Amino acid sequence: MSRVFNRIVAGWWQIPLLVLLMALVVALALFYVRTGSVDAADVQTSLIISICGDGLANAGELCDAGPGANTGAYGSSTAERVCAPGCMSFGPYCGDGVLQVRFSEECDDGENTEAGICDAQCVANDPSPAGGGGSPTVGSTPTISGATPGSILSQTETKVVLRGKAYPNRDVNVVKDGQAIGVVRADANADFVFSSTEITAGTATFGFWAEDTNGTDSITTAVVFEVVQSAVTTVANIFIPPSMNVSERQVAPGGLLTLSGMAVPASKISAQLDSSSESPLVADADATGKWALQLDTASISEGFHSAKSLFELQNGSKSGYGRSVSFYVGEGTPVGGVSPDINQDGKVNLVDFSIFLLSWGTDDIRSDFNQDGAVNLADFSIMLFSWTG
Amino acid sequence: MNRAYAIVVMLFLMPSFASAARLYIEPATMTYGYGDTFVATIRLDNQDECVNAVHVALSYPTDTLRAVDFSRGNSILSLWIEEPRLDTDLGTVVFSGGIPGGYCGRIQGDASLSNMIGKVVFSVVDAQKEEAKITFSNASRVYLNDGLGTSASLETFDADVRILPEPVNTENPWLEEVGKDEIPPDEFPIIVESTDDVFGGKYYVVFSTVDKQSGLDHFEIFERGVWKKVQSPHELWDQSLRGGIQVKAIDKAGNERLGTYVEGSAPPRKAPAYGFLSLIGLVIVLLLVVGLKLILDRHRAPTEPVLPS
Repeated sequence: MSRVFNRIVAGWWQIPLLVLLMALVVALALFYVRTGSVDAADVQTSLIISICGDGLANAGELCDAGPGANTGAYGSSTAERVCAPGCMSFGPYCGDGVLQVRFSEECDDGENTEAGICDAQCVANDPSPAGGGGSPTVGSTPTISGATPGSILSQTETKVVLRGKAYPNRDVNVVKDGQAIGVVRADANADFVFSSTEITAGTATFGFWAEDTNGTDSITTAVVFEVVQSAVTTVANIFIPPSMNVSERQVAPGGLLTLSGMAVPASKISAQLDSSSESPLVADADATGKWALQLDTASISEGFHSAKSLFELQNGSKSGYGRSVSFYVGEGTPVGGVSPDINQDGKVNLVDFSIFLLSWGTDDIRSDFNQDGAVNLADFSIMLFSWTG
Repeated sequence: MNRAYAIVVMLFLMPSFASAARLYIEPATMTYGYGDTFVATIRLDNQDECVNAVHVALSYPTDTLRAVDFSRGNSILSLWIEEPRLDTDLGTVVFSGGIPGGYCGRIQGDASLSNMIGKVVFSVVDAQKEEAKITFSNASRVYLNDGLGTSASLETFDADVRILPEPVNTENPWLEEVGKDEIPPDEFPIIVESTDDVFGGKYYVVFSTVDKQSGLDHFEIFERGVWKKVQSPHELWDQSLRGGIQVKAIDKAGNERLGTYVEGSAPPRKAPAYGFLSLIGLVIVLLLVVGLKLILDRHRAPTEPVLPS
């Protein structure tokens, strides 16, 4: 090969040419690494090159206003619309049919004519012959619940306090509007309290879950309520239902199963089998919150079954049902479901939700939790049930 | 006659079948005129079960009304799987969202109903018809928070709008609400992740937040020197992460909140070991070897001409 090379390029050209070749290759490599989007699998046979910012709407571009001009700034009319970064769309403008109040539009009917209820500058045409204009007068108070009419007061006094019961001396994870925001520890009586002033007034969704001493997670107990401006909103009696484990996932008919877990110390545990209306099985949680009860499967039909439990305090107040466990009575191997913890990091949170979004509407088995062949709202619902934040 | 009485009594004694969920519009009856803008609030009631996911599909007559905007402000849905889509040609409003951990009803003592899903802003565009109905289509769904994705039995309640030739409002309530909003969306973290089989293992960002006033409008990311609209998840252009990551949330009033990114919080990248970079490296090494050999050849026999074989 060196002979061929020598024949093509004789003399002192060889070394500089070699250096030039290497430099070209390195430059190409850097170019592709920076764009970050070329993969061996992405290379297509019909390549198109388009440069956004050269002032030419190349193939694959919707618009191109030239270097530095593709800002996507607001345009006062269709003629004045500005190309957005990427050259694939326009920025917002009066006449795009989308109401953009933040750019002082009062309406936008998708055109720039004076006719209709919206004029060419996206200002509402006054339909009454008397004519409007001038500073707004005191009109009807908007009947939108949740909004506090009047001034916006300082945020420093808005506070929320949440009290409840979990498991003795265990950490309680707090989730607000889907995001994990803190951890508090329950005391020996399983009481916990969480408070925060870093909260805006309005409807809030708080979720709570705890892990027992066995490493079993509780269900996420959610509360939805209005946080009142400049006040302390307290929610009490947030009861995290008992955690529950089943000793075997599969048992021969007539075999014994043990259901066990943690709850509030000295509370009464009621375990319900399937959806039956028969009287539940009961047990008492000990002073450390642990409880256990035995299930004789002799009277249970073969097949899949589930159990769920709640606790009841001495004053009669009860928690809701916790996460149900399933087990199989009979021979053969039960099939497991698909976990909503898609990236298997031990949490069901925004990252899993984002991966789920990407397979929305497909049949991606990773996101098809109920294995019905489609990734749809039923799977989303299963993910929300297991949310940990 | 006795028989008729018996039947009537029996009908009253029959148990009413409670549905697991109700979707309704508030107010149920309204009166507005040509040129008016009004807000219709969509609310959810769970009767006796906890629910966690909702799909709403609304229909309205396009010859009389036009849905001009949608507010997520104060919605109990904190995760949106289908962003609100307003099709003004078909006259539909469609969206899907969920409540992590579920919604189990109004808590005793709550200052408000706390069951709002979203608000649709309508304009009256014509007064030829005297009545317009805003209806829930059969595609609307609510799901139970049971971990099984069970669809709840659902009752929906439509809204009636009486149309007058002249406007009723002196002001636009939606513009007023947006104008009063000076509070940006809630704080949120910018999460950087790398997952097998997601964007080829490359780094991507995940973000989400809510705005409790006029409602979240969109997110923007600062990449290649400009701010541009972005949706979560988003594959990062700069995979080195050296320049930091800036994502902001913008509400309907234009208030902005920059998300918080913690330097060094990204996990190790899962991009495959083979790839373009390694290929280039291999080519460079090969060329270096060839070049080195040529240089050494010349040093060994500088004057001897190379004869063709």
